[in-house]
Amino acid sequence: MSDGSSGRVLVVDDSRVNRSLVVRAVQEQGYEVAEAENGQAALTLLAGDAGREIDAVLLDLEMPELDGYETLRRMKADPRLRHVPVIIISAVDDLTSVVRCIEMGATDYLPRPFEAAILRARLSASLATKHLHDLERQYTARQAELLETIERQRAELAHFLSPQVAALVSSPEGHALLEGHRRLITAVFCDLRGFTAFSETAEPEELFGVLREYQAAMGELVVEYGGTLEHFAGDGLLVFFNDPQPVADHEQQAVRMAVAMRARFETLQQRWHKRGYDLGFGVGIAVGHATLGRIGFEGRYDYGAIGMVVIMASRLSSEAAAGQILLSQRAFAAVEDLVVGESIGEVSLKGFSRPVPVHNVVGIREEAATPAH
Amino acid sequence: MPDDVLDEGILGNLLETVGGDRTFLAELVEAYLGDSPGLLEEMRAGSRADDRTALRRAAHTLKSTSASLGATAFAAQCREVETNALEGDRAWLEERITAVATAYEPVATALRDRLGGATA
Repeated sequence: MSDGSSGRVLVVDDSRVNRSLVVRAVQEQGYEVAEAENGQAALTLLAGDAGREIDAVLLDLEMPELDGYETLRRMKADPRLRHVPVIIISAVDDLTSVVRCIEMGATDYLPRPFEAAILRARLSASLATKHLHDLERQYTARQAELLETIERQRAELAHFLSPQVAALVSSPEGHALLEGHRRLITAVFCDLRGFTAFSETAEPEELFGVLREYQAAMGELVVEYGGTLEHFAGDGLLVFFNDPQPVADHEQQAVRMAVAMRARFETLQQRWHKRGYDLGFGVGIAVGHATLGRIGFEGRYDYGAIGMVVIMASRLSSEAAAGQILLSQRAFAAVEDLVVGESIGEVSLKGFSRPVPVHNVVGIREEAATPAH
Repeated sequence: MPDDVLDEGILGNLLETVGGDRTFLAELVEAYLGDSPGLLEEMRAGSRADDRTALRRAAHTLKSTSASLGATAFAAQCREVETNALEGDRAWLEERITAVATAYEPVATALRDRLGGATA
């Protein structure tokens, strides 16, 4: 296979006279030979273990069972056989069929009756092509391995970053986005009620056990609803929607996620309650423009959001009683049709000069309850 | 006399393709002589039953094996049947098949004389 005068050739011809003549002639050129008496037998052989060692096929056209045209068509349609050169054996006076075969992907043709010199030329040209193809395939396989490594690293990276941010980092337009930009987002901030008291009394193992369970459950929902996880800090969690990936109805998607989180939290809470932990879950959601991009310093960058919207979500979360999902006025206006809400009235929030109207989400309206995606 | 029946140029190439192995060529001729009467019979039967596809296939095989062995003129006669097998006039085809059968005998004799010698 590595040079022009070695290789294994499959001879396909239904006539034993013609077949044994071609077989003998090919052997005479120094090649190994396999033979098949029709197209079907040839394809069976090519599909088996022995098929992988075939470097070229000499194919007759007129055959019972499966003729040369159909054999050629099937070989070219099979990704494992496509690259094997096919030389059509044809009567000198039948060039129309040869043209048809070349169009179908045949490499060359051998006119019958044939001469030793022509057979030699056809075979060595085809096998050289095959050899080149084999090298190319090896090269492509190495490329694929390399890409797989990069993809694996990206996937690893995704464990540390939000998947959207990981995708952004490895995308061509990522650099520009990381540079910082303004966008309308929905920010969701959640944290636990009673966590400070719990952390003061709990054993470190208990504390981290609870945090792991909580973060795993919430992280899963963030991914499911297409949110961008900005960070986990202890029991605090900031997620935003509509950046870096645009999200249609990001306000609604954010509220659906928060409601799903609250339900998930209740299951966790029941289990924790039995162990004597008294923890509650509060959420704040706000909508507005923020500046997003790379925040931090060389060696430790985060993808973050800066703006009043983030502060508003965080303050609303602090304001929330256990089990409440509090919405800013703008957030509530965007999801009014989706949720059953209740007004909490005007609330004074730290850092905001005037009291702001706040709504709690009691639940999702029955008729609006559709899955996340 | 066999000069008209067998093409000397092709016989020369044939011997070269198999590396001058006359024993192999004698075996090949035996195979040809063994198969050809059956192919002639398939042509006749195909014509009788008006099975045009069977007729065409038999004529095709006889044409190509004969051409391989240098029986160029005879191969041309077979080709005439092959190319007209599907749409040709039946009486005309039968006449051509008879002509092919008649022409076969001198081809067989010439091949035996010229290439069958090594085993004799």
